[in-house]
Amino acid sequence: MIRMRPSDILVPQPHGLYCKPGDYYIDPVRPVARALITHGHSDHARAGHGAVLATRETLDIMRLRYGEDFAGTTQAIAYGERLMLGGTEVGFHPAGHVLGSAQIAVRCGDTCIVASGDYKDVPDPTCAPFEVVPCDVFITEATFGLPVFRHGDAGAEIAKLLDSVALFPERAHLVGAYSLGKAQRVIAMLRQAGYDAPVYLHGAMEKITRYYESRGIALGELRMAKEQKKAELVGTITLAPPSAIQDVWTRRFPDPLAAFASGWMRVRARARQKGVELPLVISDHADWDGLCATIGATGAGEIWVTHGQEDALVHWCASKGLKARPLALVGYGEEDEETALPAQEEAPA
Amino acid sequence: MNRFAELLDRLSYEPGRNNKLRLLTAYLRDTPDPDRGYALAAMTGALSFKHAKPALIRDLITARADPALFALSYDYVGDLSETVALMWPRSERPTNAPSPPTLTEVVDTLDSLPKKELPAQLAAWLDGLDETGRWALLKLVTGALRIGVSARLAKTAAAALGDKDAHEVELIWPGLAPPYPELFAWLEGRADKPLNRDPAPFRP
Repeated sequence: MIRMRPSDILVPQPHGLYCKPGDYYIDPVRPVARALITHGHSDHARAGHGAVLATRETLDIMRLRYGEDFAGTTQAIAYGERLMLGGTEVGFHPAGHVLGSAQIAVRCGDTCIVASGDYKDVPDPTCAPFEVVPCDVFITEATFGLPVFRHGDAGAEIAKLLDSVALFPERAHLVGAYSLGKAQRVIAMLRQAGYDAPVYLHGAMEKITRYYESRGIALGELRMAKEQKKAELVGTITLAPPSAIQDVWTRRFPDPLAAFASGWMRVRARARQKGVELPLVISDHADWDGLCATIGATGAGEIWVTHGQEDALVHWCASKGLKARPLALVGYGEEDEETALPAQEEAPA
Repeated sequence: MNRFAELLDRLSYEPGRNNKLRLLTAYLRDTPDPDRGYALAAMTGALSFKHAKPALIRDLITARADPALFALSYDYVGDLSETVALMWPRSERPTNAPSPPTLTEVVDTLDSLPKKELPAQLAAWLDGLDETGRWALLKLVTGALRIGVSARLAKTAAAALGDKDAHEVELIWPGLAPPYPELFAWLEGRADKPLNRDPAPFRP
C-alpha cells in the first residue's frame, strides 16, 4: 500500500480541517457539505452543515442547542465503530472531554492521523474516559499549553467549595461553569463528595443538564433558581453560565459569592479580571502535564497543534525530538462567548 | 505554612472588607502561637528578609525548567512568584519526606541562615509545598504580599478576637514585637493588657 504524506490527507483550510481523500471536514467553523464533529461545544459543533457524522450524544446536544433542523442529514457513530468515507477509514474514540466527545482517527493507506478535538486525561464521572489511540500524527489542542497550567486534584477544589459554603452559611454560592459538561461534572463531583442538598440551576443550564440525566448520569435533586424566593437560597449552591455570575441576575441571591470552575482559574490575574472570589481549578481540558503525557503515549512522531498556547507546546515537542507545527486554525477557543447568549434566557426578576 | 497560604489565597480574591476581616479573625482564632503572630507580622509589614531577592528566585527556576518555557509562562502570568510557584517541577516525594515547614520555621530559618545556604533551603521548601504554598512562601520571602490587606485591617482583625477596638491595639503596638504572644494573651482574656513602656508613647 502506498504511504501518503499526512499533509496530503488532512489540510487546514479556512473552513476547518479538510480531508482530501475523504472529502469531509473535521469540526468546520463554517457551513460545509460534510462534517465530522468531535463534540458538542459551540466552537466545534456549528449549525448549518449538509451531512453530519458524530456520536449519538453529540448529535443530541446539537439538536438541543440549534433545533431539529441543525443539519441536512445526520448519522450517529458509536465509539470504536469504523466507517469507510471515500478513501479513508474513520473511527471515533472517547476523548474524556464532555458527554459524547470523541477523538476522530482517520486512516488512509498506512497512515493514521488522530484529531483529538478537545480532551482531558483525568477521571470525570459524566463521560467515558480518554482512550489513547496509537497514531502517526496526533492533532492536539493546546488550550492549557503552558507549564503553569497544572490542574491538580479536582476533588480538592470541590472540597474548597464545600468549605466555603460552611464558612459563609448565610451567603449563596454561585458557581460559574460552562453549561455543557463542566456544570454537570461539578454537580456529579459534589454528589461524590457527599453533598446531598438540592443544587440550583440557572435557566440556561436546564436543557443540557436534564439531557445528561436522561443518559443515565445521576445528579441528585436539582431545582431551578428562578422558582425560589431569595430567602430560600441562603446557604445554597447554584450553577450558572460564567457570564451570569456578575450579571444583574445575581440580585435574586442573598449576598452572592462568585465562584468559577475553570482551568483558567489557575492564574490569579484571570480570576481577578472576572471578579471571581472563589476560583475552582476544574478543567475539561488536559493540563500541561496531561498534554505532554498524552503526546508521548500516542507514539506519534509528528504533532499538529490546533488552538491555544501553541508556541510553548511546539517548543516542547521540538525539545523531545518530535516534529511539530501549529495549524493556525481560527475560530476555536473556550465556550466563553457562547454563554453570553443563554444568560438572557432568564429575565432578571 | 499551608494554613497561612490558604489564608493569603482567600484574601487575595476577597474584595469585601468585612469578609476579609472574617477570614483574618477566623485564622487568628484557630491558629496557635507563634504562627499567627508571624502571620500578623507579615501582614503589618513587620517582617523582612534581607537575602531573598527576586533574582535568586529567577535563578532557581531557570536551573530547573526550560528557559524558553519559563519566558513564555512569565509573559503570560505576569507575576514572578506566581509563575515560579505554578511551574515548579513536581518531585515524587518519598513517604518519609519532612512535612511542609510551619510559618514559624520559615521565619526563624530565614533570620539565621547564611546567604549562600538560602537557595538550597528555599528549593527544599518549594519541593515540599503545593502551588498555593509555594506562591505564599515566595510572596513572604520577597516581602510584598499585595493581597489587599492594610496593616490597619490586620490589626482590626486581631482586635476583634477580644472584641476590642483597633485603636486600643494601635496604642500598644509600638511596644510589641513579633510574634506578639502578650497581645494575643490579652485579646483572649488570658493576661492583662500589655504595657507600652516607651518613655514617649505614641498617642494619635
